Amino acid sequence: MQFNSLHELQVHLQSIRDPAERRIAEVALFLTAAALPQRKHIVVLLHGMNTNAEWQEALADTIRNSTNIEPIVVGYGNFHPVKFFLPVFFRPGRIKKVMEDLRGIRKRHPDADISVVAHSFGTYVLSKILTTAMDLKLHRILLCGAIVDSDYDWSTVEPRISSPVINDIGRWDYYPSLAKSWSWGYGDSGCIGFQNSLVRDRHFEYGHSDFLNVKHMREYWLPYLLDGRVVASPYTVIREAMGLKERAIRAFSWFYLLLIPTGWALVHWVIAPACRFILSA
Amino acid sequence: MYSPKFDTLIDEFPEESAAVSRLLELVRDGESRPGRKEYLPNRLYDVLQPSNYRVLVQILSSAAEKGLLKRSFRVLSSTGGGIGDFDSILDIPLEIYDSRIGRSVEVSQQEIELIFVIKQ
Amino acid sequence: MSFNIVNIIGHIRRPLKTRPMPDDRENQTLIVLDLLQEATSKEVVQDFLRKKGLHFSGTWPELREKRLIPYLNDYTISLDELVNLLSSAEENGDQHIFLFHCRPGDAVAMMDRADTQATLRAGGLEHLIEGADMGRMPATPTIVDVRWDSADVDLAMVIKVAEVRTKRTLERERSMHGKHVKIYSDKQVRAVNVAKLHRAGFLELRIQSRDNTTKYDGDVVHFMRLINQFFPTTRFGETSLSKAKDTMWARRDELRDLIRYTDASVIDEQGNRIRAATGSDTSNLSDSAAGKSVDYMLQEDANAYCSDSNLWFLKSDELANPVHVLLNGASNEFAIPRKCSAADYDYVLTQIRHFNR
Repeated sequence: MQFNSLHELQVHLQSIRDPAERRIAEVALFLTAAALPQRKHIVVLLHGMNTNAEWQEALADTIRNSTNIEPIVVGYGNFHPVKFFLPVFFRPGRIKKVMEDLRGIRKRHPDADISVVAHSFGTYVLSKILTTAMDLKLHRILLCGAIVDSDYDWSTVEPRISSPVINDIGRWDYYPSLAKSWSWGYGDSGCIGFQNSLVRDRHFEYGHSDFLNVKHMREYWLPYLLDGRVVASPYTVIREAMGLKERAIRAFSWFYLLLIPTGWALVHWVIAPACRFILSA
Repeated sequence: MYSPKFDTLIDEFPEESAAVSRLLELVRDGESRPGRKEYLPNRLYDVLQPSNYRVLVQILSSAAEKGLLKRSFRVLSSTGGGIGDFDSILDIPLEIYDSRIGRSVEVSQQEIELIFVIKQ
Repeated sequence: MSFNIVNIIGHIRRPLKTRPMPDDRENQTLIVLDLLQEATSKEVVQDFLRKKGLHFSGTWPELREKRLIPYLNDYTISLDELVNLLSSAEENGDQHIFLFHCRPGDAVAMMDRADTQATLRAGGLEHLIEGADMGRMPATPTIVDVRWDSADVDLAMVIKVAEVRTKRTLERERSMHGKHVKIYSDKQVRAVNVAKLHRAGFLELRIQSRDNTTKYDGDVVHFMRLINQFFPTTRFGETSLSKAKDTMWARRDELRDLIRYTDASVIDEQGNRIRAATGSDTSNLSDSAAGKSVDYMLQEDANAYCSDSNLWFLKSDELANPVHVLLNGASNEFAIPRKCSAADYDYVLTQIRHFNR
C-alpha cells in the first residue's frame, strides 16, 4: 500500500485504534502480497441442544464484517433434553442431517477450506460424523462445551483436518459431566479436556455457554479461524484443580443410583441368607 | 539459548511449525554469536519459507511481541545506509537530518525500511 | 495521449482476434503511430522493420514520415501488423515483473478454454471471446484481452488489464510571501498490466512501471484480485529470485559475454551493506576491485547475500538489443525499465529462470 507522503501514512496508521492491530498493519505495509486473496474459507457453525443459537448469528456477523470468511449456520432443530438423554431413537437422525449438510457444502464448494465451530451437542454430532464420514475433509475445528468422550480417537481424524483441534473448556461448565453421568455415549471433554497431542485444550473461567459472546469470539476464535493462530488463555496456567467434593459430584451418575438397590438386593437375598445358612450349619 | 517463549511461539502457530522452527533456529544461532543481527522481511520470507506472506506477518509480529525479535523502522539515506531507527512509523519525523550527506531531508515511505533485529 | 484521442480508436482490427475497424484509415494510422510512440521505444519499431527487410534508420519523426507512413501507403506493411506490434509493445518492457509458480496440472486446468470462456460470460466479458478491446482507457482497471499462445497445445494463457493512471509532472516552482510552491499538472495515461500463465506451471505478473515509486505490492494485490477468478492466487507460491541473484553475480566473469553489471549490493547479517557501482553506466563491475570487495563480503560472512543487482543483458545472436534489468524489490521481482521486443523479453526471462534453478 503506497501513500503520497509520510504524513498520509501516519494518519492512516493513527486511524487504527487497537495498538496490536496497528503494529501488525505497520509490518504488513512492508511485506509484499500479505493482502493477497486467500483460498475460499467457509466456517460452519453448529449449535447445541435446546437453543435458538443466537450465538451463531452473532459469530456469523462478526466473521462477515471483519474477514472474507463465509459463515454458514447449520442446525438440526430444537433438541429437547429428554431426547438428548435417550441415546437410541433421536440422535442418529440429527447426525445424518448435519452430515448431509456438510457433504452438500463440500459439493458446492469443492475447492474451499471448510472449518467447523461446534458447541455442546453440536460437538457430539461432529465427533460422530468424523468417525463415519471418511470422505469429509475439514480445515480447522473448534469445540466449546464439548460432550465428546475424552478418550475420543483423534488419530483417525488427523489425516482429514489441517490443524490441531481447539477445545475450549469452561471451568464452571457442569453440563458435560451431567451428560456423561446421566446418559450414554457422551463424554466430559468440555470439563477435563482431551489431553491429546492433536488437540489444544484451553481453559476459561466460564460456564457452559459463556464462550458464546462476541468479545471471546473476536479474541480467541477469529485468530484461529483466520490464520490458525492459537491465542493462549491466561486462565489455563493459573486455574485451580477440582477438589474431591466437586469431582465426586461430577462423577455421580445413574450407575451409582442403580448400585444402591442392586447392592441392597444382593445383601438381602443372597449374602445374608448364605451367612445365616453357614452359621446354622 | 533456550527460552520458554520459543515453545509458546510454536504452540501459537501449529500449522506453521516448520517455519517457526526455522525462525527459532535463526534466533538461537544469532544469539550465540557476537554482534547485532538484522534481517529484512523478504530475507526472512526466503529463510523461513512460511505458507504465505500473511502468516509471516503474524509470526513476526508475535515473535516481536514476545521479545524474540525487535522490530524497527529504519530511515535510509540516499547513500544507502541508515540514518535513524524507530520503534514505530508514527515516531518518524517528517524531516530528518541525514548525517551521511550533512543536511536535512524530507522522509517519504520510499526511504523507510522494516528490519527485524536479534539481540545478542 | 489524452483520453479523448484514445477513445476515437474504438475497436481496432487484428487478425483473428480483434474487432472491425472504423472507416477513417488515415486517422487510425496517425493514432496507432502516436500510441506506438508512447508505448514503445524506437528500437522496437526499427527491429520490426529490419526483420521485414525494410529501411529502418532515423529519429522518431523520420521513422513516422519517411518509413512507416510510406510503407503503409504502398501496403508494404499493413495497419494490422502495426496494431499487433502496438499490442506486443505494450506488453513487454517498462515493467516490474513478479514470478509465481504452481503445479503444472493446475496450470493446464486454469488455462482450459471452455472454463475460461464460461468465466468470461459469467463476468459480462463475453465480447473478449471475439477479440481484444484495443486502446481503452477504462475508469477502473478492466480486463481487455484474454488469449492463448498455442502450438499443438495451448502453451500459455495471457490476460491483459488496462487502467488509467495519473501522471504527475512538475510544471513550475514559485516563491512568494516566504513560501515556496511547486505546481504539478496531472494527466491521465493508459497503463497495461499482463498476467501470463505458462503450461509448465509458472506465472508472470507484469506491472507497468510507475514514475513515482519503486514499490508495487499494492499493484500486485489489486491485479491478483482482478484475475483471481481465472488464476486463483491460492494455487500459486512466490518464486524467490535469490538464487538467480547469487548465481549470476558469482559467475559474472564467466558470463561477461552475456551480462554486464553496473551495480551490485550485498547485505550482511549486521545489516551492513556494500554497494559497488561503476563510474559510467557503460562500464562493467567484472574484474574490478569494487566487484571483488562485494565478493569478499560474501566469502567472509556465510549469511551475507546479494540484495540488489543492476545489470544488462548484452546484445547477441539471440538478443537484438541490450536489455537493462533490475533485480531488486520483492524476493520474486525483477524490472525491465525500458520497452523491449517480445523476443528480447522472453530471452531475458528464460535466462533469469535458468540461473534461478
